[in-house]
Amino acid sequence: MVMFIVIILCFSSNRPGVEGVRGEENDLIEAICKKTSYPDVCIKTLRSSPGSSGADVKGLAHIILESASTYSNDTYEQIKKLLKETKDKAMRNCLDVCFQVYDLTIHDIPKAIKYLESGHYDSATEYANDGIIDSDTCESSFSEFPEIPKSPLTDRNNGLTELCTIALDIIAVQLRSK
Amino acid sequence: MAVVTKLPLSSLALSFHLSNSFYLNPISPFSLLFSFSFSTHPKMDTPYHHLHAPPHYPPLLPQEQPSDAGPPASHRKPFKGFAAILASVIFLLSLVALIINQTQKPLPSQNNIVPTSKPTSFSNPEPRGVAEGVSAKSNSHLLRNIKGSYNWTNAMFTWQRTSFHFQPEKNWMNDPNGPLFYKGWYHLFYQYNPDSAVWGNITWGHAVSADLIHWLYLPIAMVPDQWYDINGVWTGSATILPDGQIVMLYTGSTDKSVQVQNLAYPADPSDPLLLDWVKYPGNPVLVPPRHIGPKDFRDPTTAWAGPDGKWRLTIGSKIGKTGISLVYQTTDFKTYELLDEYLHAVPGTGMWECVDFYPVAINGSVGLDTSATGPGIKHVLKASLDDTKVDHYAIGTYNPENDKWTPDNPEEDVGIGLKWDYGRYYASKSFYDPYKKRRIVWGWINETDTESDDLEKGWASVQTIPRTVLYDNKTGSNVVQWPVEEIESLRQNSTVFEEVVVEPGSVVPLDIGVATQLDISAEFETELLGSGATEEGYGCSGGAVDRSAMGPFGLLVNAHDSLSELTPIFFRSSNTTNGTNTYFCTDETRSSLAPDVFKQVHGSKVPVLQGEKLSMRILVDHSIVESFGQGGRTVITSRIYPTKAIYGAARLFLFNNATGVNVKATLKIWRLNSAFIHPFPLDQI
Repeated sequence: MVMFIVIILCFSSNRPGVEGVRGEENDLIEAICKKTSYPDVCIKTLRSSPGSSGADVKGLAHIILESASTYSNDTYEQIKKLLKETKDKAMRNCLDVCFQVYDLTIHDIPKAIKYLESGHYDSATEYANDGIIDSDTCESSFSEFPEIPKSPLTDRNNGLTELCTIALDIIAVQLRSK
Repeated sequence: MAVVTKLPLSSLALSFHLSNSFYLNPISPFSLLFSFSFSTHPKMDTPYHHLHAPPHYPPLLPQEQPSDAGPPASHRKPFKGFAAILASVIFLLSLVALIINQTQKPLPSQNNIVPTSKPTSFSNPEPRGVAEGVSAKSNSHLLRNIKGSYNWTNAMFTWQRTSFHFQPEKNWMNDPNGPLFYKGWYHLFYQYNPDSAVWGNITWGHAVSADLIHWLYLPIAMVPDQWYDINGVWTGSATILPDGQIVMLYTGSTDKSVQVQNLAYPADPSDPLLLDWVKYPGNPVLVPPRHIGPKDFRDPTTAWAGPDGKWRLTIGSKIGKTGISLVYQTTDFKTYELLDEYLHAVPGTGMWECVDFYPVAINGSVGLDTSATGPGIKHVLKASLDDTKVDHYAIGTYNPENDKWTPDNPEEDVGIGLKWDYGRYYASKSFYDPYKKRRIVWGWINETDTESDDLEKGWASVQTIPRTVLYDNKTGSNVVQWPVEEIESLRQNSTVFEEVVVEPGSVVPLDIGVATQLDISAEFETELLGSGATEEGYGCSGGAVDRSAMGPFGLLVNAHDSLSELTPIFFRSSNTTNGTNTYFCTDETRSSLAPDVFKQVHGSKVPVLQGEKLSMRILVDHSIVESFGQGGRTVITSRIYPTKAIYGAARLFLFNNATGVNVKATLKIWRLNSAFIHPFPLDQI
């Protein structure tokens, strides 16, 4: 009896790498991600997220935005840490800008999720777009200072832009099918 | 003499996070609101009997991509003496504002950049302008390095200057701005760098004409002398109010490189030349709203009046990769309300620059004032796509009750369907001409040679001949563009060729004398030789050497006798399973032996209705060729830089490179005089 239950459980669990069982959901992820601006990042983010199998288009967008939210929070913490450690005036100036904008981002992206869930796709789009604007503002603050050779947050800022853009692309599919 | 003022960022402190409000500059205590003319020539028609020349098509020349290397431009800002009084008042204002704001600590905000001064070095290799969020030379992203540029001679460079297209005497020009008709003069303003032949230090150049052809240069109208436009006085549009007042709205790039909208108006409305302009002391009147990036907010349109009496205007932008058109309402052009809904949006099209929005009459008879609405009217929505540097448009229906526009054909929506011009063309802007009741459109034509060529020859860019725009009531799916009739005043002698037969694979020289300034009208009939089997998949892309049964055939302009240089402008028809398709194309690939110029094949399918002959009109003016297919249903502008087919060596030929049709061509060809564009003799007023 126990063996029977175990076998049932094995077949119904969501184990990555189980070929064929989750074929349909993977097809949706690939189909949706192919239409986004960063298909690889899209697929990687969705596949590594436990809720993605069985999710519909809206659910996939939700997952991407959740990733963006977590990601921006991590960046926010990094910025705070850098601010504590940095004495250089120019660098502090830029980090301060990043701190201010990411302070907004970590509130904007949850709003995007909220609007996505309630079906207000235009508002969801706008708040997701803020993530792109904010990471852009943070990143370009470093280029104002020629003495700062390289922004310490380029990868983080690019990462957020990618995730938000992917979300916007998916929402556009959602919006278009309305 | 004007002062560079830098207000601290607090003046742009934005409280977007909690509300959709936008911030206006503190209003100055000083109110500075100032209430603020072709000869014809006898025509000679000479019939001409055809002769045949042996077919002779040299092989396609290897295509190399030009480089974009060039020395950085100097970065001075010029100031005009005649704006001295204005400047000193603005200086006083700014001083007061500066004192008021001095004590506030700068607050960076969501939509703004760090409060530091912008680096002024041009040491980055990116084409200048791209970093600002503005289109620079648009072939830069396709360029590769080549060993060295062509050995251009002064004669070649001089020949490239156009004779009857508008271009400044020297230096760089881009977008046309604020075109308008006022007190008997057509005005053209344009993005202009007074210091160099590359983009930078952008001011508003100015010229006037009584007939849209004979232009007179005027002094620069606006320079970047305020904190809100110190990084460039960018593109804008004029609105003429019912009482005749002119309102000019333009984009300024601020000292923090934020894009804002500013109001300006003539200093003296009684001056028909509109020489001097005043910038509203309360500028900027619009700053990037919530959810819009600080560099995604530019090029305000002409305003139109709504049923409630309020004015509306639209500004292109983007959210992610979706191009959008924001709508603002205003009664006084100083305070605005942003509508929640966009005029329209199209996913995947990217940033919309230079949006243009205007009505067209369905019966296709006259142009309409920008505010016209009602039955019998459709609206054109046009956007310049930043990502591809192409102008696109669509025709649709505007609902004045909710300020939304929907395309007639969503499959050919803005940015994914028709192009305004299929060649080298960008940043078009239209205006309503109340004098002759026309909708007229300008377009910026960049060079396709290299930046270093432009610096060497000292100039870059021309404007098209202004074109009328009408709804095509025969096809119902597009507009038609046509050169303004005033160009006919440049016509000198003409030559007629009746029913010249051009057999497959042959070239026929047309003896018309000097062939560098021409107005050509040509009609073509074809006679099928053989069965006319169906062919699929033939468009423009193979160019003129790609032979199919029913094309290509047409004209070779700016061609050398040896045919080592030539520019084919042609039709290609094909019988497909869906009926006959016809493409209208230009092929620049052998336009010049110089390897460092950008040479492309341009064109598109052109609607041809039952019973219509194939017709084209071509304006040849040295290094620019404007080609109009089927009465202007498909238009292609080309830039060409021949090295041998210049001056007296430039020739005109008919050609037929089809394999299965004889072509019979009837042509009327005028030589065109120069427009002798020169400075307005202001000292003689």
